[in-house]
Amino acid sequence: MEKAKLAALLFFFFVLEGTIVQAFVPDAWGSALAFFPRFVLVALIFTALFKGRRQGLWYGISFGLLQDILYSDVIGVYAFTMAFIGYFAGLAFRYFQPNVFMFLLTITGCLFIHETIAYGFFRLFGLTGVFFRFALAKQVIPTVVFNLSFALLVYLPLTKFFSSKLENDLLERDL
Amino acid sequence: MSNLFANKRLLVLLLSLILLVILLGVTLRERPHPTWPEKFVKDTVSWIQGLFYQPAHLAAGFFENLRGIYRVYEENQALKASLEPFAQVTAERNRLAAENRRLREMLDAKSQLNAYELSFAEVVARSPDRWNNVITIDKGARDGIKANMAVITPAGMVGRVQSVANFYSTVELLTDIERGNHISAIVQGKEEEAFGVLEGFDYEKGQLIMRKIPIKAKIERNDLVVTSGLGGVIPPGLLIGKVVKVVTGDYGLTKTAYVQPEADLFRVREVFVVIRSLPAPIPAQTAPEGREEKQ
Repeated sequence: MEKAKLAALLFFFFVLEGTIVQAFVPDAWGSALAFFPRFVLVALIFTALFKGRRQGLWYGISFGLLQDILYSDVIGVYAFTMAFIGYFAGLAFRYFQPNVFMFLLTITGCLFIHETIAYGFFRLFGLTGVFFRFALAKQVIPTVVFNLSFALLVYLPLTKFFSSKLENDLLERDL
Repeated sequence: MSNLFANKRLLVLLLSLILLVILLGVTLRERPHPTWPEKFVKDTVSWIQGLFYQPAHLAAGFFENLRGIYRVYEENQALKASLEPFAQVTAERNRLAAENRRLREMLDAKSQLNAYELSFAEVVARSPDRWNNVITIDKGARDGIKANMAVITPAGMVGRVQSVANFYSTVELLTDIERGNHISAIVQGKEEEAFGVLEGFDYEKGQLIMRKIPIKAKIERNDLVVTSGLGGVIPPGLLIGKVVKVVTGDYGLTKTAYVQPEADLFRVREVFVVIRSLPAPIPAQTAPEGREEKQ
């Protein structure tokens, strides 16, 4: 039941990314600046924090595959990057007390690493012609900032969402 | 060796990395017909996405309209000015079409290479990143959509069908024409037409790059660029954009033109899929189920 709720939440974020957000991103209004909504990834990092790195890995693979199948020609890029971030975030949380500051720092790092790896893959396979400097300045950094503010926005609701179940999970948490 | 197998985690990691590379390699080529699990996932999720996309863009369109109210006066002036020659152009066009028909009849030319039908489709989603520029539309294999068909809006061409599921298909936008999915196009110069190939997209300027134009071609700013119809399922004469800048090509043997796409590639809500009906043997006009040309 809890798993179904979490999966439904992630799926809802996934649908938002490709539909509602796309109506309001700046490049739709004629700007060269672009940020990509990574709501699933943000929620995934929360999952890794509260549920452990294994869960982060599995949810990452599933939703990465979904993203690959729906939007990408090549299957495996997002499955890899999101699984990696899910696991990596869980691993990072293992080594320090999860307070807000460290949490935001981790999210920033994870988002940046994720975008860089994903860009690297697409560039490697010749799937995009965007140059690195342009991608970094106009896409990656805005993406990090945008999603970081999204993480701040959902910090309280998501913390509440997870910690209501935290007592049950605390014992079997595989941190 | 036994040490390696004892470390189960490392083994799993290595195996999954190998699996990843294999998966990437296998799916890297062009795949117009996805496997059935992919089709199933695509159809299901796209249906849900369809519930969100249209209302969101309606709302965005409302804000756009609000913004537009402030510019109505100037826009009206500009439109009036550009509409003045319209009647003249229409008359000219009708005359030419009639003449063309008459000449064709005289020549007994049955095939109409530029005949096509439009199939209306609504957009249900757009890829969130800008490294895959694709949209999903709500027409699929069941509606007769096939890979590589051109997709247009009333303003101009937006892309081509990349892969087809049963009820939905994925459209690759013009911004994504890397990897050999080039579009053969014509620049309509003042005196002559020049062939070229749309080969890439300049993200910083937001313009298409058209290469391999003959060095002697007389083309200039604001010339229209249309599809050539030479390369298969895309019919000739679909408007792509306007020439913004012409430079000499990389090796000095050809010209390169920068083309501003006419269609809005970001806020796309409704599109038409162009189904080219290729020459039915007899009679030329009535060919709704005409054979589509294979590439």
